[in-house]
Amino acid sequence: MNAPVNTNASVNANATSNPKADVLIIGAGIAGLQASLDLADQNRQVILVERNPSIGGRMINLSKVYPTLDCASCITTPRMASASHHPNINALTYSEVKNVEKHGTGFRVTVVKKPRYIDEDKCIGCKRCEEACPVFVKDEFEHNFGAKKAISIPFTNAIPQLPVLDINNCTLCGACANACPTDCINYTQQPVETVYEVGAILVSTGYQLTPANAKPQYGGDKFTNVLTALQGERLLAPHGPFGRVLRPSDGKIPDNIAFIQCAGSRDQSIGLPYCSRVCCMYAIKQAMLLSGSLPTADITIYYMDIRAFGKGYEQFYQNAKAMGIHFVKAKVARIKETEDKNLMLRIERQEDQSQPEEVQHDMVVLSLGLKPDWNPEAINLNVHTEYDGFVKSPKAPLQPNITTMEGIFAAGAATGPKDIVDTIGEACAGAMEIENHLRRMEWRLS
Amino acid sequence: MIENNCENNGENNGDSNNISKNNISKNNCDDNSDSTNIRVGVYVCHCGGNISDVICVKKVAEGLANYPNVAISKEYVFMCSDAGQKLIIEDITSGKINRVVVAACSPALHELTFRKALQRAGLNPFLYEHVNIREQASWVHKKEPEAATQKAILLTRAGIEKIRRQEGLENIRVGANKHAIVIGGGPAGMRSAISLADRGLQVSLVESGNKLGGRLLEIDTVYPTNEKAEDILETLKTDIRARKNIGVYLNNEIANISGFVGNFQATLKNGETIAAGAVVMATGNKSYEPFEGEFGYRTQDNVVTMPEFHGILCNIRNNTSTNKDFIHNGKHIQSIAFIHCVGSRQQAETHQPQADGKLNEYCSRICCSTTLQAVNEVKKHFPNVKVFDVYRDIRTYARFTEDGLYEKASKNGTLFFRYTEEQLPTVQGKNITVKDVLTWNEEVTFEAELIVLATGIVPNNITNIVEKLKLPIGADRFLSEAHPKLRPVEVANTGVYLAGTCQAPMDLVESCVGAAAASSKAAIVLGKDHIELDPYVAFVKPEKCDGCQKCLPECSYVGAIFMNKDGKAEVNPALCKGCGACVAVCPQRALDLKGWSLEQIEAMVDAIAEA
Amino acid sequence: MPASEATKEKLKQAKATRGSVPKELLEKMRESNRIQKAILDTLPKFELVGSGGIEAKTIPQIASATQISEHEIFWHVNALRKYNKIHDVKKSGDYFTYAKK
Repeated sequence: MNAPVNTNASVNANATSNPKADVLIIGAGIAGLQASLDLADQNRQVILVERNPSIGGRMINLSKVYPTLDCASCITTPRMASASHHPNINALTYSEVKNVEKHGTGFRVTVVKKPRYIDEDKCIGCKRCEEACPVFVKDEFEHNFGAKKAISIPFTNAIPQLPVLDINNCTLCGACANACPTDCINYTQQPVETVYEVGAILVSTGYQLTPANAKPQYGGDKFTNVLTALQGERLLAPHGPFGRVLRPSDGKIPDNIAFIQCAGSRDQSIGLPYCSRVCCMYAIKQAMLLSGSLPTADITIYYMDIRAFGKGYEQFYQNAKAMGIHFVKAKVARIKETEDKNLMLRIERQEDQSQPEEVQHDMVVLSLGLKPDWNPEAINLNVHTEYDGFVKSPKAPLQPNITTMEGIFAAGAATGPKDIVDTIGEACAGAMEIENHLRRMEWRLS
Repeated sequence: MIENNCENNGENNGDSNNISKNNISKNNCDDNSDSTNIRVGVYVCHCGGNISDVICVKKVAEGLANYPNVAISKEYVFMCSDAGQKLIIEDITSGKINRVVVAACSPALHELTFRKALQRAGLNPFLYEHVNIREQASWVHKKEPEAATQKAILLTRAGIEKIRRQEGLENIRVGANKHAIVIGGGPAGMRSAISLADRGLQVSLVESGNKLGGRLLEIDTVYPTNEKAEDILETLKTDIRARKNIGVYLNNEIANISGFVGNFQATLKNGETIAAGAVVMATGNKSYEPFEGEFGYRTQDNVVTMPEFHGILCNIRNNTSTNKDFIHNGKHIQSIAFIHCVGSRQQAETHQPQADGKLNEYCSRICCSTTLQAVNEVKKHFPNVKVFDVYRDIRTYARFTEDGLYEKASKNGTLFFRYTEEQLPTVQGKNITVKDVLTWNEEVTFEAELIVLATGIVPNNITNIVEKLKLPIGADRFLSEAHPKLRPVEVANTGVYLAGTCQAPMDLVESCVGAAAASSKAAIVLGKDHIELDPYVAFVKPEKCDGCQKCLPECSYVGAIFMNKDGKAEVNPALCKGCGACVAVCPQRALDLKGWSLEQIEAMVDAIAEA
Repeated sequence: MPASEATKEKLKQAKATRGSVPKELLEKMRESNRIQKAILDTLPKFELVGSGGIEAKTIPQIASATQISEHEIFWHVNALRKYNKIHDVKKSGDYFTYAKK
């Protein structure tokens, strides 16, 4: 299992027996990548299914990580590279799980490989198609701040380095095919379904942010200079959409930035009562990076409680205070946009005066919460979720990776919001549970 | 010859033309000790701005392009990425280079990444030198970009001098004893033992107390589900008993332990010996003990710690299940106050240091949830008791605790006060005074008949094992992991893994996850037929050794160096840690270090000093 | 290099299956082209900046010159920057200035 099976998928569909593996992992973010490596290092054959065109999940999208301030790309790309090179791991990108059913002691999983509209064996990742394409579209990796073309490699460090043609935005002008040196554009490529037989499944489908418009009072989807947390990450990332920190309405260098904590969590009124666990820390981190990038800027974090609970986190928080970042315990009631696209925040401080106040900022980042990025029940899978939408862990606290379906395990943000450290821990734990499950079931590959 | 990748909004341009995705064929472009045939590839990384924000990486690449033996000198945005590694692999397989120097972040982060890339290209992985121009240049000289750039050039020159004198090395192989020692029989130790046993390994679980259970033995119910701790414990003990390959040693401790991954030897207090391949540290925590007078502790009889309060609550519940009165020490308690962050989040301005001179700067993570669980218990069973909660931040971060614990407490009549680190609450008899943020920073005084200190946790004392195995300890006294983000359950010493609160404060779920994660790492190492150790070890040139024995007392690792039957010094490569202390004292230069030879170091010093 | 016959055939098939290009897509493209042309027309060439009083422009200046909203201008300027049609020049007060390649 050395080369990616992507290109052999059509062959397998014709095979009389379904391709087999020990484990199928749904989601190639850091949880899926870590679990796949732990299992592959124990000589298990792993199939890693990723819905997006590249592996790497949310982590590769970030700027730096707390509390070490390691560059997120620098610590994610080696795991991505290890997983893609590991002889025991088969990464199926741009693919989705369509169906799962029990089969013997394991499962039959139907995976649909979506068409990139290129012949992957011939493509050399030269990007000439992208340069030639005349259609500019919003880049979702940059959360719409940046542009890409209708045919594009998703981002600099993408693995695999292969483009995807967004057929819905394609005018079928043929410019890419004319530019391609290896004639690998295939305008009539079809999705390919393959059924895999595996012994166990890991759900590591991660999170998405709570919607920016969940709290309409914040104008998250209306006001140009009100950003989501991931947009904030991209502003600070080394190869972000603007090359530096600028505000989206007019490219001005901001100098008075506000973070609004709990903008999508701990809020019954928008149906999100739980704490999303990572927002305090990511806001402090973004504030520190902003402070480094814009040394004269005023940065304020409006918070309810600062949840810096992890190893090194409290010290990180104290450092941020020492750097001059303002921490204001206040609830933000609403945001209004001024004529020059500044933001007017109506706040009620819980310290000092405790009167409602109007404060102006030129850019606001909403510390949105986390919700699950996949619902197993949507494909009629008997993996139940809790009222918070995340996967249920019936055997918590002792074995939180176990789900309501035997042989299917979960790890990472799929079981509830958590940061990178806790995700990696849960992924390794999940790998251990799966290994022991396969032994118990006496699962055999051949 | 320079092949420059000019930074261009981070796009991976130009060189993508020749990137092939196919697996690299093995090319016998191996080590060559013929110095005229040494061709070094130098790659300078931007590190996503971490380096290029300060250092002009282009200048560094250009500055090295004409250095002796340098065949290629490039700079690139992210050397550790797939594309970056491919640059190196291609230059190797096309025959352009047979040595590699990458000037980038710390070797602790990516030395292994690049060694693997060399392996894939068919080159001996030790013909690789990782030069740190991030921590050692960019990060420490942020205000002096020109000087930092010059320093980066010097450091990389030294790296080139070193790799020019490097021959290929082979990892040392040792057998793996398929047996794990788990030190500590709390929930983390038990879960680790169970997972390792299921994996097919022999496990020895060593517990100093007379029962398994650790701190679970002190708790009545576990949040947020309010399951009974004894039920959880019973499940764990049943699982342990059911596995014949787990040997449990109660009332026992590690008296001595030594060895290395695959081959540890432990001697227990009672004299028994165990040979194991891996060690899982699950030595847990104990409650913070406030000093005398801290919030009235021990100087007043109405102040107790959280564990003491758990005991009181348990007693009362067992004795007065129908009575709604909270009776303690014969008194009818009408009001209870809880004070958060005792023994945690300490700062120099307001807290006094502990006995060892350090402050507990860290957050103990579990106390907010534990406290609110206690608050809700009191309100549920003794609704007439007034409850006060004096906090700094409420950190109910875990699943189901925000709505399950905090929201519940906010609705059952509990009165909350918030203090900041600028002024701690004071306790005088029954009176508690708080400069309350929630009341316009006014000083508020109220009465509480019983005062519970939400005490944090500290790691158990394991100095013996730490010394014997030379384990890293952090500033917070907990065991220090190999990397705070990426490798939470491993330590720098291979073969030792961390499970549970010996590493950091965490709750029961997190401890169990940590335990299974530690088992996974141990299983990977012990699952193989043999273990590979780094080849950076000392060795003796017997023809130069005159048997003076000056090297022996320098060695900190028992058995690593000894006098053989020929009267010459000899090194056991499996035990040698490559520290070089023996090399430094040998007057005959008979001792040297593979991968860090005296000649290499002298050349590196010359390269830097000559500038 | 021009595409192979086989590829051209597939393009024809794809066009046949889809029918004509959706109107909204064409509209979006035209608008995008219009804005980008307006931006490039108003920007000086990078090599000429600094000589003879020629200055690179800020986002508000480009917006004013093209009568297009600052937000749209900013998005398209960054799009053109990514594909090497526009360069950053230097700061001018709180804004950066841009010139074309």
